[in-house]
Amino acid sequence: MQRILDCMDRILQKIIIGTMAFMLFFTFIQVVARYLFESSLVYSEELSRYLFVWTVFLGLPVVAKRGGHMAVTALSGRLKGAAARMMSVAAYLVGIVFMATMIVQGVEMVQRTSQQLSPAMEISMSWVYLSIPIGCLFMMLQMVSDLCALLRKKEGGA
Amino acid sequence: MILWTVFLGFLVILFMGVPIGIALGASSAIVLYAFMKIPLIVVAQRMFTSVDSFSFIAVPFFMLAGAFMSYGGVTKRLVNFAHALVGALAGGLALVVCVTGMFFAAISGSSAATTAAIGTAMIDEMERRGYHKSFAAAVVAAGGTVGIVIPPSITMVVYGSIASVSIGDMFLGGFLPGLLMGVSMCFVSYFIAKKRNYEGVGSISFPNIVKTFRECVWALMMPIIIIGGIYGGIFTPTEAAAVAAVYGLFIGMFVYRELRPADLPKVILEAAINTTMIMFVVGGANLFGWILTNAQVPHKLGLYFAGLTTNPLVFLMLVNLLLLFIGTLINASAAVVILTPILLPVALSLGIDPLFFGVMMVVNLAIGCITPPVGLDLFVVSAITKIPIETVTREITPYLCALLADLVLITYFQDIILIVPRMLGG
Repeated sequence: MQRILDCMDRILQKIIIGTMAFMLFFTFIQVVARYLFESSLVYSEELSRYLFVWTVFLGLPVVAKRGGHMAVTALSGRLKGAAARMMSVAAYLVGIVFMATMIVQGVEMVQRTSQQLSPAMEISMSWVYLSIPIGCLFMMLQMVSDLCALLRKKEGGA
Repeated sequence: MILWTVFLGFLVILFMGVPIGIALGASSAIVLYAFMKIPLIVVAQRMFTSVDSFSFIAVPFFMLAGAFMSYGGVTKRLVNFAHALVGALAGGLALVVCVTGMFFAAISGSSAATTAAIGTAMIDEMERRGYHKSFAAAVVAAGGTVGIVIPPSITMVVYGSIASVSIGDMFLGGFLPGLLMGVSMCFVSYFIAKKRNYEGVGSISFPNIVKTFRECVWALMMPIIIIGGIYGGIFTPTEAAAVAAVYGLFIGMFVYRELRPADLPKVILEAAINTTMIMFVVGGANLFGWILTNAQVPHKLGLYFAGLTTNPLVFLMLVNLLLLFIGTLINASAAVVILTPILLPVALSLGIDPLFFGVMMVVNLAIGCITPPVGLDLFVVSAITKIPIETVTREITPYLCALLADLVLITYFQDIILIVPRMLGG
C-alpha cells in the first residue's frame, strides 16, 4: 500500500506541475492574444479555471502526504502518550469519514452533470467534477495509510 | 441550535488537530445532515464552486512570481541595494533587514516567504558582525511581516475574491500601511542598535546606491507593472498575476540568470502545494459560510453588535483583538477566509468601508505572524536559526509593540489606507 501511494504521489506531483504550467500559459496567452492579435480567446479563462480545480483537488493528497494541511495544533500538539495517540486516531477517523462523504457526493455530482456542457469549450462538466472524487479518494487512502502506520507503531511500542 | 452545533462542532474538530478544511467541511456536513435535512451533495457542490473561480487563480501566480524571482537571485541584489541605502547607519544590518523586507514584500505576496528569503540571506552575516543571533532572528521575523501588506499580497487576493472588493484597490490600500510598518521597525532597530552599540558597515556613497539600484530595478518594477496594469485597464488582477509570474520567470532566467530550467518543476510544485493548502480552507469555509448565512448568523451578529455599540471604532477595536488572537492560531489567509463572511456584513451595517476593513484585517493578521507563542514567522526564523521560539519572543517584543501602535494608528486614521486608492483609483 505504501509503495503504491508513493508511486501515486510522484504521478500526482507531475500532473499538478503540468496543470499549473498550462494554467499560467493560457492565462498569459489570453493577455498576449488580446493586445497583439486583437482577438480574445473565448475558452482560455474557462480552461484555466478547470485546470485550477484539478490542480487543487489532485493537490489534496500531495499536501496530505507531506502533512502540510493547515491545522490548529495548539491543543492536540500538547498532549502526550496515549492521549495524543487517541486524539490522532480520532482526527484521522473524522478526516476519513469526511473524505468518504466527498467521494460519494462527488461521484453523484459527476453523474448528474454528464449532460451539462461548459459554456465556452462545450465539454461535459463531468470531466471537471471528476476531480473531486479522484482527489478525495487518494487523500482518503493517504489518511488510511497514515492511520495504519500510527496503529502499528502503537502495537510495536506497547 | 443549528448555530451552536456548527460552531461547537467546528471548534471541537478543529482542536483535535484535523486539517482546517476538513474541520469546516465536516462540521457543516453534520449540521446539513442532522438539522437542515439538506442533501449532502451540497458539500461537494459548494467546495467545487468556491474553487472554480478565476480570481483565486491569482494566488498561485503571485506565489510563482515571487518564487521565480527569489530563485533567480533577486534577494541578494535587494540586500545590496538596502545596504547601500542604510547599511552605514547605526544598527546598519538590522535596518538592511527591515528595508529588504519591504522591497521583497513588493515582489512576494507572503510573509513566510519574505521572512525565509531575508532570513537565509541575512542572519549569518549579522552574527558575523557581532549581532546577537536571537536579535537577528527577531528582526528578520518582524521585517517579514510586511510581506502580505505591501502589494502584491496573497491574503489581499483572498479577501478581495471573497468580499468582492477590487484587488487593485486592496493593493494600493496596503501601500502606506506597509511603509508605516517598515519605517517604524527601522526606528526600533535603530534605537536598539544605538543602545547595544551595533555599528554600521561601510559608508553611504551615491554612486554605490545608483549601481546597486540598477541591479535590482528589474525586480522592483514588478509591483509597478502589476498595479499599473490593473489600473490602466490593461489586464485583470489574475492576468496581472500571470504577467508577473512570466516576468519573474524571464528576469530570473535571462537577466539574473540564476534560475535554472531544472529548478522549475520544484518551484511550480511548491506553489501548487501552497495554493492547495489555502484553497482547501476556502472550499470548506464556503460551505461553512453558506450554512451560517442560511441560519442568518451575520445578521444576528450585526443586531447583537448594534445593541452593544453603534460606534464603529469600538467594533473595529474588538475585531482587532479577536483577529490578533486568531492570527496566532491560524494562517492569515485562512483567517480571512473564515472570518470575512461573518464580520464583513456587521462592518458594512456600521458603515465601515469594506476596502478599509480588508486592509486593516491584513495588517492585523500580519502582526499575528510574529505574535507569540505560535506566530508563523516565528516558526520560520526558528527553523532557519535553530533558536527556540521562546528566545526569539523576548527580542521581538519591541517590534511587536511598534506594530501594534501602527495598527491602532491605522484603525483610527482610516485615510492611511484609503488615501492612495482614492487618489489613484478614483
